[in-house]
Amino acid sequence: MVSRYKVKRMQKKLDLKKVIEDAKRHDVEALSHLYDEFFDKIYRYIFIRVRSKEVAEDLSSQTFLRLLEKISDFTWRGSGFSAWLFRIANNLVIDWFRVNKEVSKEIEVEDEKASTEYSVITNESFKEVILALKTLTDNQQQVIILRLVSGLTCRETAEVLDLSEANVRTLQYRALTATREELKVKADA
Amino acid sequence: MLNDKELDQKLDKLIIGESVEETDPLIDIAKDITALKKIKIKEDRFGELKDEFVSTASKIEESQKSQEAVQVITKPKKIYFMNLRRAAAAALVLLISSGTTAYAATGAMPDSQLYTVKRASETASIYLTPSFLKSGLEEKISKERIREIKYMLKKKNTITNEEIIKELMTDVKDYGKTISEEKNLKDQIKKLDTEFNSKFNRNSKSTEKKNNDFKLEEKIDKQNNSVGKNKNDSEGNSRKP
Repeated sequence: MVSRYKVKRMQKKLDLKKVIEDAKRHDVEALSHLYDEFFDKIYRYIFIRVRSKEVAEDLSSQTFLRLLEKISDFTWRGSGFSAWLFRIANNLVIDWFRVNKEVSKEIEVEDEKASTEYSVITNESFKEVILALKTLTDNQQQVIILRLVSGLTCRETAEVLDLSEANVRTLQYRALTATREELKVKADA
Repeated sequence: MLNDKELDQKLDKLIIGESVEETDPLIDIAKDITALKKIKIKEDRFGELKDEFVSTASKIEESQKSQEAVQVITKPKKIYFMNLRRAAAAALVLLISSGTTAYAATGAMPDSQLYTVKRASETASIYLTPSFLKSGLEEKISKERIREIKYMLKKKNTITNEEIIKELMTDVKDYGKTISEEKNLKDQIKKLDTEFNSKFNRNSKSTEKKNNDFKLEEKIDKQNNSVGKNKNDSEGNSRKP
């Protein structure tokens, strides 16, 4: 059976606010729609940061379980839902890095050898870009992933990272300049 | 070369899939990065994870419905009294149908997916218990919360665990007010509070350090930003590790 949200989405009549209101009452269809809509974006965001398929799957699932727990506390303020959800994911990634400092180092070493962790990525140039992003500062990395890979607006990105919009713009400018330099150095080498 | 505001406007277009006719090298890099959108979880794995999510969501929906039905019975309004029999029957059916899940959830700890079901069934049983038996039930629930806090205190010092314990502490303190004559229980709560504070003392320091680091980074950003107006982007590279 096609979900009522799917039909409305096809008709371009879907109102995210309405879906969230239903989800707040723990309506399974609404929650399932939010899962379909946001899972890939969250997965990509986590995967590029932790660089492990298994960890990304686990943390993405935990993000959505946290959504189930906390959605009733969410208050609709314009476009704040994406920022709210990515903030949950960001907190989980921070927790994971805190607990698994050693594990994350090991994964980084494996990355250099283009390990099987990248089996999900088939394109060689993806690996180069991900490794170039790794050389950025944590804030620069996050801004670039949230903006360009997860498709958040400047305002939403600022909300996730607790920064001003001007700060996000500066960080994204510097991040792109640094990534270009890094890729240039690699190409020359 | 574009400045940061112009770049942001072009990126907004790029993100929503509009074509950007710009020969700026930063836009080219941005296009390479947006290609990472193709990264996807394998379809069968996505299906498995979604099934898990939907089944947890259904359990919560079920237990919430049964809770609502219980609330309908306990409301002393005339209109509800008229339908008391029907509502009681509905609640019974819902309780029996969610009974298996609730039974499985009885031993669930706060880090378990079934924990929400356990808490919902506790709330339901409080509603169903007559007032003269309530204090006994609340005492039993307090003891259960204490057991959960002890379990969580043995786990790692993460922000998530800290938040969970904080919530449990608030709950147990609330119950503690209603069962104040139970001195042993009050002492236990006090002891756990001290243990919790000493365990997460280190965490609050690290949060403070993180905030300080961030303030420093923001300060550097501002400084670089004011210099950057004259020197374009060349100092941006100095922040590279």
